[in-house]
Amino acid sequence: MIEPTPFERRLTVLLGRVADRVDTDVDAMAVTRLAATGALARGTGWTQPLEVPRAWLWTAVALALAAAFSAGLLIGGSGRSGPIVSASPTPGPTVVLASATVIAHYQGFHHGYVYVYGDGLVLSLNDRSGPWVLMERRLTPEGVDLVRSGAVEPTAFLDGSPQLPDSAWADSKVQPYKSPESAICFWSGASFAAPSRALSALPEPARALLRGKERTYTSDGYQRIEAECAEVTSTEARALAEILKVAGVELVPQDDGGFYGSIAVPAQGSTAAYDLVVWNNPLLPHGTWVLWGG
Amino acid sequence: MTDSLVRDHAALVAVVRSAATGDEVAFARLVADHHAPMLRVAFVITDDPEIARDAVQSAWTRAWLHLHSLRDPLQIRSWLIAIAANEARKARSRRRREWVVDISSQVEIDAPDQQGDALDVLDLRRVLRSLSADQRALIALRYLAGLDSSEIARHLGMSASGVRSRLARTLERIRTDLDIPPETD
Repeated sequence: MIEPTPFERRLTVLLGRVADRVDTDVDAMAVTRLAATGALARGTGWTQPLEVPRAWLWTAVALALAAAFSAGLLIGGSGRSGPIVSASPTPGPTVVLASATVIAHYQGFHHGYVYVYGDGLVLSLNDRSGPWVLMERRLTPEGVDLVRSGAVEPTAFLDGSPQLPDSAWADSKVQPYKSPESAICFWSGASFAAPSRALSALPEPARALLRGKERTYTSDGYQRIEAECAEVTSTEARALAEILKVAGVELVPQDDGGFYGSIAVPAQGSTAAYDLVVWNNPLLPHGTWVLWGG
Repeated sequence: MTDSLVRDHAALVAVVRSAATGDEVAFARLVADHHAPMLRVAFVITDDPEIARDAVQSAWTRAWLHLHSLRDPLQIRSWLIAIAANEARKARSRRRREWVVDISSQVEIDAPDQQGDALDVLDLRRVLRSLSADQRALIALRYLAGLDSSEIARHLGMSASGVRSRLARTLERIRTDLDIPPETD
């Protein structure tokens, strides 16, 4: 054990005094109740007022998902035992999803995720060092073969770039990925709300934009869930963002280029309001999005 | 290991395991025990109490979702603090507000014999603000939370030697910025 120097000891004292400036009082049970949110577990959801501080709402969404996961309600959640953290790359068998073929993928808690597609597209989001945006690169067919054979593991794309021959790269420049399509989903209380039920809470221009575009998705990631959302182009998603901003909805950007925001909606037969979360999930080429990935 | 230490460890393991299965009372015990150190670390990294609170709330969400993946329950403290530091680091990088320090109010709340310290604290905050979020996270984890370089390395996915060398460089930067002469011992 190395003794701290006088400077390190002084730094420790001063850091403690800096930290003393923040009020650390917490109602642990309130945090936990909100965390588990008995109301969420009971599935009060759409028709009930959700009387929680707005700032906590997003946490409640995540925790409800966790509760549902524990209850085996989520796809892939039941029957899985042991850690679901990927300690090593998990390329698995080739799976053909919506419009693109994932030939290898990786997910690691606090690390990020990578998808390598058969057409050479590589998407990655590094949750450890950032930038916290979804990035893309492109491989040639030769590069794809290197990944497919296991010579290059998908995680190699997460921490910098793997050492590949020039002929393996179609474009080694790392740049933000712009998804051409998004799933606009809605969340209220304990569950996703179908667009057909959520639209009435939106401004008319938003209703017109989303009407008739319902589609059912299965999200990717640690928790796989089914949700009925509205599929829109990226242009329509931007238009929706503008409509919501004009209506006074504060939108929070997400790592993958999406956003979310909540709308206070009067509850039927009550003076209280509940929060409806509008959630824009840019779609990956295999036709879904990652939920709580990384 | 003493009997009481064994009992304490056994109790901690039981609490963590219960919380991991969704036991709210057990989870609340973790919140009660660890919220403050998580928030203190997050505040040093973000220099903004609201961003720090948001970051720690986000950290609890992650903890709820991933507690079952913690292999050694005795690592719960450093695991939670590292998650809070990671969330704070990300939050700070995302939200680049003007960093304003109200010097007058900070000096006033200190007792007269602590005012020298208060000025040192202000100097330190000024220097911390000039560091990257990564550097502040390392400093906070090492010198505020008391994690050793191996623990920091394990939770942040770095090598212990990498942590040590980055810490050394950051310490040197702080020392230079604070005009403190190098130690000769």
